Amino acid sequence: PKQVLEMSDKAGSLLSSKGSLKGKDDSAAKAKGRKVQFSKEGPFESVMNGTKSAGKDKVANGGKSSATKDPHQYEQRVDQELPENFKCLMDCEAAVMLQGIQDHMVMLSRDPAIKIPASFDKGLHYAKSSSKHSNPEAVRSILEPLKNHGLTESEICVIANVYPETADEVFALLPSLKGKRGINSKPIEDSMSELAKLKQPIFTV
Amino acid sequence: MFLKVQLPWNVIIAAESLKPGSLMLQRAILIRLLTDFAAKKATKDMGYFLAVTTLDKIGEGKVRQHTGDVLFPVVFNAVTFKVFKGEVLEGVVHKVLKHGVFLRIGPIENAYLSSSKMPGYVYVLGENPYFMNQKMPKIAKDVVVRVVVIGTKWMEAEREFQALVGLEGDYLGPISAPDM
Repeated sequence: PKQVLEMSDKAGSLLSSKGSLKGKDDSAAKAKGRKVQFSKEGPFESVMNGTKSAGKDKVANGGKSSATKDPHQYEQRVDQELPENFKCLMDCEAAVMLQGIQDHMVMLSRDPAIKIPASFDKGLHYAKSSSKHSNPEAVRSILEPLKNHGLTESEICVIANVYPETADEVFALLPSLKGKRGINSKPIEDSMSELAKLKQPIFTV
Repeated sequence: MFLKVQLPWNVIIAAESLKPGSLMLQRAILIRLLTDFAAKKATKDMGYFLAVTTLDKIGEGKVRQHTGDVLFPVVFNAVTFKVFKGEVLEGVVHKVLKHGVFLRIGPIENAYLSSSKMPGYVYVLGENPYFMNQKMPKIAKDVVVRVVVIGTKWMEAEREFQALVGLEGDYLGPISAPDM
């Protein structure tokens, strides 16, 4: 109980103050055994990643469990499976989709009744500046097979977005991969060298 | 990262908009959907709403008893943006403070990178302050930095996310972006 109270305080202070992260690291380390309390402690859900205790934890399983019981944000990790009706998009894929809508914008804006979400521009700008590939389909076809080697959809998207040069970089940036059974570096190395072939000159005229 | 989501929503059309001719009706439903979509701005589960991409299905309308409006169940696809713990992203510095910097990552205005998560960096005071490191490029306003997301927070009142990011780890840090 004492341990839990401590966590609650830290959780409270973490959630009420912007930017403070000290509480998070400490509490996560202490939280390992205490799953029952996690329904309130959003940010500490990460320590339950990959483990389930029968019936007790309400917040396990990332995106699939109901978030409605938790008044505070609990976070999905990038290495968890997303809910079924969500699909990850690589930044390059999103850039293509959003640009397509932007192209229709002139026509759309003629109709004053049509409203465009406020975040659209920022989203488009980010997608375009973050996108490092001119050929999303090629990237998809290179990385998709990695799903057979244990990577999740979202991990594949992170790899595409970051555009690592070596398998080393992949494992450094996605430490969760190291923990997974069945992940070996060979398929990832192969994919990285395939991706490297796609690399275009950075400076475009 | 960007997400493509398929959503079932209920769109309510006021009786006044129900003119004969299905084309006007479809338009009314679409306009209503886009309006509702834009108004929503963001949700905790799906992140920031960016755009509706396709309309999959418009179901049969049901008249609502007391108001006379008609409710149409609609299924559509949309693009959203949400960041996840553990994700590696690139953000642009827009504010430098003594204890850290604020980055913009897409629609997220305030991703905080604390100085405690910038190993090796020290704050340099000045008119345009920045963080400096012996071995790495400096972190200043408008610099692009590759970070890892340590945590996220959904703020119900403002309907937006904040993120906590860090540089602890290999291959993270400022990127010398040639074309930005």
